[in-house]
Amino acid sequence: MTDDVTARVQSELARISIPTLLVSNPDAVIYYGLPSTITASPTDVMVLVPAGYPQTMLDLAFLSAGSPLLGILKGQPQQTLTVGGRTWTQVSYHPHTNGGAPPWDPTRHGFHTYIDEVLSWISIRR
Amino acid sequence: MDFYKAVDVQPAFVRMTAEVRSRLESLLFSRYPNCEWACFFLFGTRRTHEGLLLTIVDLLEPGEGDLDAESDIVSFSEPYTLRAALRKQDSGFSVGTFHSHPEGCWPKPSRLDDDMDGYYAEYFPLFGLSDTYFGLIFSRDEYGQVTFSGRGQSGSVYFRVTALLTIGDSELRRDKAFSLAAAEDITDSFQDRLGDMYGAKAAQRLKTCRVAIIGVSGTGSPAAHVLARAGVKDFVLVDPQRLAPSNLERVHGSSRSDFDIDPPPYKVAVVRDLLLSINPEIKVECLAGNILQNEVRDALANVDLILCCTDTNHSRTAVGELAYRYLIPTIDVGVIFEAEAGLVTGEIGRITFYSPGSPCAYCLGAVNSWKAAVELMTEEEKALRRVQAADAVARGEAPNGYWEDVPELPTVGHFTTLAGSLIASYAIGWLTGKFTAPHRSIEFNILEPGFGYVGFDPPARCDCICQTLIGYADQGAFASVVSAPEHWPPVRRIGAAER
Repeated sequence: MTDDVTARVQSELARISIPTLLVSNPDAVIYYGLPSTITASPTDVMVLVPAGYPQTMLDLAFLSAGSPLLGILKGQPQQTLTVGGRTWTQVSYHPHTNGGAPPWDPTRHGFHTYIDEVLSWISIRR
Repeated sequence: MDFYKAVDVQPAFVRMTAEVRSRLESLLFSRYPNCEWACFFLFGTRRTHEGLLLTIVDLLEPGEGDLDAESDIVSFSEPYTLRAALRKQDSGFSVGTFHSHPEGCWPKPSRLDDDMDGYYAEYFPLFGLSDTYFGLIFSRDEYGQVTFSGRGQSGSVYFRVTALLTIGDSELRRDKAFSLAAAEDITDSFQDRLGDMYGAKAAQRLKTCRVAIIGVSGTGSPAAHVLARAGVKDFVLVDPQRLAPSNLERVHGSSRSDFDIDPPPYKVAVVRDLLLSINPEIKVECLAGNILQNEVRDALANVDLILCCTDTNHSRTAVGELAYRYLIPTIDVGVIFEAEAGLVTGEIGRITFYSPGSPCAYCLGAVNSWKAAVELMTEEEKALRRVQAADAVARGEAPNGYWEDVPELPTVGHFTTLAGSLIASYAIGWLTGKFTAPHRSIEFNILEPGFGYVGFDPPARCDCICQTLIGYADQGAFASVVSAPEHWPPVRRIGAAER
């Protein structure tokens, strides 16, 4: 990530009250302990920082491999990826293209707004 | 710090809006002709390969008692100085001083100025993160001619301000720092017609400006061509591509012989050679790269105007951001053709002016998020998304969350030349202050009656960052809206003899 992107993501994460972590190689943000009405225990969600962010929209979400939410939430489970020492399964979740969120606008949207989309997503069965 | 003893001094460029410049001059010359006046100012910075860019965020104008009104010379009060230091600490910007010398006096620093700048260069870095301090001196003669000098320090590096660029809606000014050297000869016979039309001052202005052209193909190459003939002598050309056979139809300066060498030349080299054939004195910086890349942004720090001729979503976003964060104005152009039943029904041009305070590309609704994403994606991600889209269709789901084709829109030379020439014309008007476009955004279709002309001046969205980050420069990185993807090849500087 360039210095500008790092500064931008850190600024967005500072606006979120739940614990988060910005990791690199690949660049990603992990949201920790998100509450879901489907499972009793909170869940972690990982989102990649795409090439060209923040003009490139945030898209997709990853759940821990083996998460009980896989297959229950909207979106097809896809390939796995290791980030931050954990294995994650990608779910084809696209809030800003056909998922109900407004068109991506980097002057307004970022990791601080994507969390709202993710929180809604992890509480609704497909 | 001993400014006057500094030996290794690098150049610095100051950019400010015309609104700030107007307020500044009113304040600095308010006790003329005999007495000085002053203020602190907040500024953003960007370190470039050429030197340092300063962008004035705001003046910290003095209130009653902040300066010693009994003194003919400037004397800052301690509370005013502390207030400026605390603003610096809170904002993350740097703080500097503007002050005037009496009417008709040279704006050269006196020993007292040396002492003041030396003191502040050590004092202000104690507050906040920035270790940069600058002091600028202005003076005006009895004819109203304003001159200035400026110097500063960032860490252990010393700078001398060489140019002050003032960005207004109707004029883009460049003032060179005060010098005792004789003024440059302003006559150039091939500018006679232009001088007759707009005046010698306008002709001279074109000779002293620096214009960047982003994308030197269909619209960028004719724009460069027209500006070189108008007398512009300093260009930055940016385009990552080499010439392709299909470009012969619209790239000015290209010829069949360009394909006698393998690989064919970079487009920037083709256009550079065209400009030099018109005027061998022209200075051209050629970069095979993209506007999002840092080396290119560095090269733009000291330009008067950008002509953005790429017609891409990420470029439009970038020039909008450069306008508000770095106070660099742009004219953006795009063209599109429409056809129906085998006939061409539309040859449409769109021109947009970006300057500090104007609506950004997102305010204008000029960015398609999906197309922008595709422009910045790796080829691997595109391929993966196409496969996932096909899988989604097989499952009976909509594929557009994964992939949607973005058709490449063809353009042809006669119309791109027209559009490129048109923005060169508006560039001449803006640079010289001789005429302005009737609207910030213009669309036209030469196949419609009245050329289908539509002009509009949309306001910025009141909550948009383009209205709040004016002059933030690198210190506005926390709200940057676009970045170069890491998979793009690095910028290549094309040497004078290289093609």
